[in-house]
Amino acid sequence: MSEFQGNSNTGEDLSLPKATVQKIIGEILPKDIAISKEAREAITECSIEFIMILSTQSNDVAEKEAKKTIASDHVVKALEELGFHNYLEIINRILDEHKELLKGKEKRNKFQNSGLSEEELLRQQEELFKKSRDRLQSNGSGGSFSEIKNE
Amino acid sequence: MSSINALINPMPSGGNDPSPAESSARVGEEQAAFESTQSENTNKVPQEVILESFERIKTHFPAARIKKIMQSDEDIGKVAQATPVIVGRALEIFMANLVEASVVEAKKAGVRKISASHIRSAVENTEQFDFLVDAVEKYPPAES
Repeated sequence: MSEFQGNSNTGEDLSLPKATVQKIIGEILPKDIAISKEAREAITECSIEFIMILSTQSNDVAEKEAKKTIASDHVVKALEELGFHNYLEIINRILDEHKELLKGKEKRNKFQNSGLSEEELLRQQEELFKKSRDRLQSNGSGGSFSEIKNE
Repeated sequence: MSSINALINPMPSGGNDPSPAESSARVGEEQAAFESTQSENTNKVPQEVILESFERIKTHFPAARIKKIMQSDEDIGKVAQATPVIVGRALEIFMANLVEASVVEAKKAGVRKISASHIRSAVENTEQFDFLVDAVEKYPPAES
């Protein structure tokens, strides 16, 4: 425990945001059931315990595979090892969605890197049109065009 | 068998209308149906109920906070970008499960307000929550 790691134990600063916990509990609870403040705090404590046990187990899985970074697949394996088999269906679905999302982002980035934004492209096109129009007019068949333009 | 069914078809009744009376009625039905097959563990919340509750959750924890909590354990090193997101979602399922189990305890006690004692009972009566027994020991046991 290094000092600048924060001498505050997991309890205080490093808790879950109260408003978020409250909101989520509210979304789960049937409308006709209320919950006490102390019970909410108990749920928060249990949630932190859950994060810690899942982190530790995920870390073990990663270490067994000689990986230094905990990847989402390690979390999935850890859930299985901890006996949360019934969570896997949802988690795998979310993982797939997340991967799809990342793929989409990559594509968009490639497009942005290779070309320019649509607006920028349109502006450049407009500029090219103008240049060629000007060229036509200055070489052009007579002064009438430039006169009109000047008006 | 029933759990496999739940995995394949998480929303057996089609729509997820949030009407409180109806959803709690459904919870009751499923509870009864489940208890008849799982008599050795009367407190287990059916998978369908957990899934339905999870689907109702629209609020998510900030991944940065989850990551900080994970790394408050000095053994935890680097984590991939998706990891705190997945841990956060797993936490939401966990909360859905814990809250539903506590609702069962409150109803058993015949009250409409969940107290910390109900959380304790929910933990003690659910095998998956064994790791929490020490954390909730400080709360008074539910009176019977």
